[in-house]
Parts: sequence; C-alpha cells; structure tokens
Amino acid sequence: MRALWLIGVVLFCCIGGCQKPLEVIEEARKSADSWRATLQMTLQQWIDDRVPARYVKQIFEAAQKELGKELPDVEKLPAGEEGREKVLKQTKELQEWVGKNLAKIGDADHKQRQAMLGSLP
Amino acid sequence: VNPKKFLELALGIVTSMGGFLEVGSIATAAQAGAVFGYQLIWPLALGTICLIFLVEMSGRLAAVSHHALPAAVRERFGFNFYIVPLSAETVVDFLVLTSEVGGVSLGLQILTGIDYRWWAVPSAIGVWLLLWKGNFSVIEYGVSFLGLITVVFIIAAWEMHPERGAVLRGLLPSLPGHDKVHYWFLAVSILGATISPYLFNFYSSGAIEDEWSEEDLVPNRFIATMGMSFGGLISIAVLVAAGAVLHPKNIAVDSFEQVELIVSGPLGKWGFYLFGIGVSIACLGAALELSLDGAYVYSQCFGWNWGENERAPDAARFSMVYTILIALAPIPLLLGIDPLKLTLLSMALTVVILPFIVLPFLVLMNDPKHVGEHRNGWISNGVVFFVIILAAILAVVAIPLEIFGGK
Repeated sequence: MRALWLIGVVLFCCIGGCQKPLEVIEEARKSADSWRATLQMTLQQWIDDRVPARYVKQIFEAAQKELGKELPDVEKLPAGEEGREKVLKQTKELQEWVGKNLAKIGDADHKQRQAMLGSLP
Repeated sequence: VNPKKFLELALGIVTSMGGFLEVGSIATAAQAGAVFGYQLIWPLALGTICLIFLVEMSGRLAAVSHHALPAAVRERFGFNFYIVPLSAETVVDFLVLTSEVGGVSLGLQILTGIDYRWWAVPSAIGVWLLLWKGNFSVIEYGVSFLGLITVVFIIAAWEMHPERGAVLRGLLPSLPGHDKVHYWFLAVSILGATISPYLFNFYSSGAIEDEWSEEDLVPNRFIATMGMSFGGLISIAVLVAAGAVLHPKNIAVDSFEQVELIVSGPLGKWGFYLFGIGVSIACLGAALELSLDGAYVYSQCFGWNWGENERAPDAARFSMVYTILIALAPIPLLLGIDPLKLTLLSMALTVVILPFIVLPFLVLMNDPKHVGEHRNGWISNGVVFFVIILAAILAVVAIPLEIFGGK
C-alpha cells in the first residue's frame, strides 16, 4: 500500500505537480480571463435586474481576493519570460478596476452600471 | 406491502442530500461543468448507481436484522476493527459538518450580503435546536420537503436548452483534451463526495428510527432508488447548468459565489433567491445528517441508548455527541478557513476511508445471521466488489490528486 502511494505521488508530481514557467503564466492568464468573464456576466445580470447590488458586491470582493493569488508565482519568474509582463499587466489592471468600482456599486443607477461594464478592461 | 410505506421516500431524499446536495457536491459539480462542460457527468451517474445499491443494502440490513450498519459492523467484526472506521469517520464527519455549516452560512451570505462568518454560529445553533427540540420525522419530512426547492437547478439546466447529444455523451467516460490532472481530481472528488460513508450509517439508523421490518424490503428498494436518483439528478443538473452557462465563457469556479450565476442567468431574480434558500436548506439537511451520523456511530459502537425520537435526557450520551460536534463545527470557519477548501479536503479523506466502510458489506450482506434469506444476489455482490476495487484505487490516488490537481 505504501509503495503504491509513493508511486502515485511520484507519478502525479511528474505529470502535474512540477509546474513549468509557461504553465504558471497560463494558469494566471486563465484565472484573469475567468474573473473578467465573471465580472462581465455579473454586471450584465445586474443591468438586467437579475441579481441585486449586494450580490454584485460579493462577486467583486471574491474577485479581489482570488485575482492576486497567482501573482506571486508569476512575479517569481524571470523578467524576460514570454507572456509574463502581459499577464501581470492584465491582472493588475483588473485588480485596480475592481478596487475602483467596488465602492460605487451601492448607489449605481442603470446608466452607471452600463458605464461600469463599458469600462471593464 | 403497505402502500403508505412508499411515502417514507422522505428518508431517501434526506439521505441523498448529504451525498449530492451539500456544499462540496454543488461546488464540485459546478466546477466540473464550468471547466469540462458535460464531460464529467459519468462519475455522478456511476456514483449514483453504486449509492443506490449500497443504500438499499444498508436499509435491507436494518429491516431484517434490526441493527443499523454501525452496530452490525461492531457486532460482527469486533471493537478492535471498528475503532478504525470510527476514528476516520469522526474526522470526516467533523470536517464535512464544518463545511455544511459553512454552506448554510454561504447561502445566507448570498441572500443578505452579510459575510458567512457572521452566520456560522447562528447556523450551528439552528442545527442544534432542530436536533434537540425536533424528532426524526420533523427532520426527515421537514428537510426533504423544503429540499425540493433544489429542483430549481433542474429548471435552470432545462431553461438553458443544453445540447442533448453532448449531455448523453457525458454519461460515457472520456479523456479530457486539457487539464488532465484537474479532470481526474474532479472525477475522484465527485465519486468521493457521492459515495459518502455517513449516508449508509444515517439511512440504516433512520430505518431503525422508522421501525422498519421485513415488510419494508420492497419500499426500501423504491426509497433507495428514488431518493438517490433524486439527488443524482439534481447534481447532474448543477453540472449541466454550469456547463451551459459558465463553460462557454471560460469561467472557472474559484469561489462559491460564482455558482449562483448558473441559476440567475437563466431564471433571473427569483432564481437568485431560490439558489440562496436552496443551498442553505440543502446544507442544513446535510448538517443534520452528519451531526446525527456522528451520534449514531458513537452510540452504536459503545452500546449507548440512541435515537432522535428519544427525549434528549433519555439518550444523554447520544445527544452529547452531536452537541459537541455542532459546538466545534463553527470554530474553523471563525478562524477564517475557507469552507470550500475544507470540503475538498474532506472529500479526499472520504475516498481514503471508503474501502474500510464498504468491505464489511460483502460479509454482512452474505451472512444469514444478519440478513437471513435476504442475502445479496450476484449482481449486488458484484457491485460491492466493484466499489471495493474502485475505492482502493481511489484511496491511492486521492491525496496526490488533491495536492496536484486541486485548484
């Protein structure tokens, strides 16, 4: 049983555990894209009056918490690594946008909601 | 056969909630649908079939032997054997109970906007009060009736008009084109979340609480099949809705709040409210089930007086066990531990202990001393044997997958 366990650990370390720089960047890009799409969908549902403002606020807070998670791993990569700067810029822009708009959610009217969606990076 | 017995379907529905409609299962099914579309329906279908067989066996054991599963295992294999599953189940029950209290709180957070940690203690008190003041029927019928609200996931999936061919193809195992480790992690998590040991203990103990006898063997088959199918169907609906709403937009589920979009997208604001209420009720049902399971397992192992139908002072040690479990459950949440991370860990642990839980079925269900003439046929024995092999494989790969495939 113990031997099987070790084989399992080694196997999965080889196929998935040891992340290469490109994989780190890809993960960060996917996360940023996923959160951008989440924010877009949430804002659209808010504009259509399908969800209340308090829910939009929760999504923004969750995005703020989750978006930065991959950044330390990306920042550790060498400066010239392909795609590194692009994903850092994309994630930081999104983080800034969330931080700037979080406070505006409470009293945003229909027009302001649309403007918020239009300004999503 | 008394036709009224078929109305005890409530026991099947409430049992299936702990397997399919708890926070971990909902999150995992949504995550699977979001990342892999309909490709991971097969572990849900496979888990449901295995669960129908195993739950039916635990009900049959209780109806014929008048012993719930923990008591029968303790009696047949002795205390020294039983101490292994008892210890493992204590850890898993506690972790999953904490996740469920977190799930009730997350549902309330989505509805009110108030952080889930503020809801952790009130939710735990609510669970305890229901157990302390209520009886088994209140829990059985109340939770299963209110739990029907989770049908909202089926309506949401239906409204999205998913491609039928693609959904049906998802019933057959297939290899992923990307994120292979994450795919297998989700497949194992789904199976781990579905074939949960506490379901068998709860169902068989519930059968004793409902005073089942050999007359109930036919209703038992119906209740196990329909109850587990209900849970399985809702879980598949969560996956299909996520596959239809989130997958095309490349949205991965990193946070439980994102899951709500799969209901409000197709159903609008009433879908939003039903999602929050549904999640809270489903997790409340699972929390009640887990608290009772802990109390059942300890009481039957040590030979204490037990039963949710007993007055709390008459089953003092039974009541003490669930009281302690519920009192401790909110602590990890208050310390800031994410209920979703906790539930993913508990699912991996569930898979690790599964072989110890399923192995006794093979002995008990073929022992005339316990089940008389109602022993397993070759199909049921084949399923148990398959689950044991599957559980052993899953036990080996679960933790490495949790480490490298969990996101």
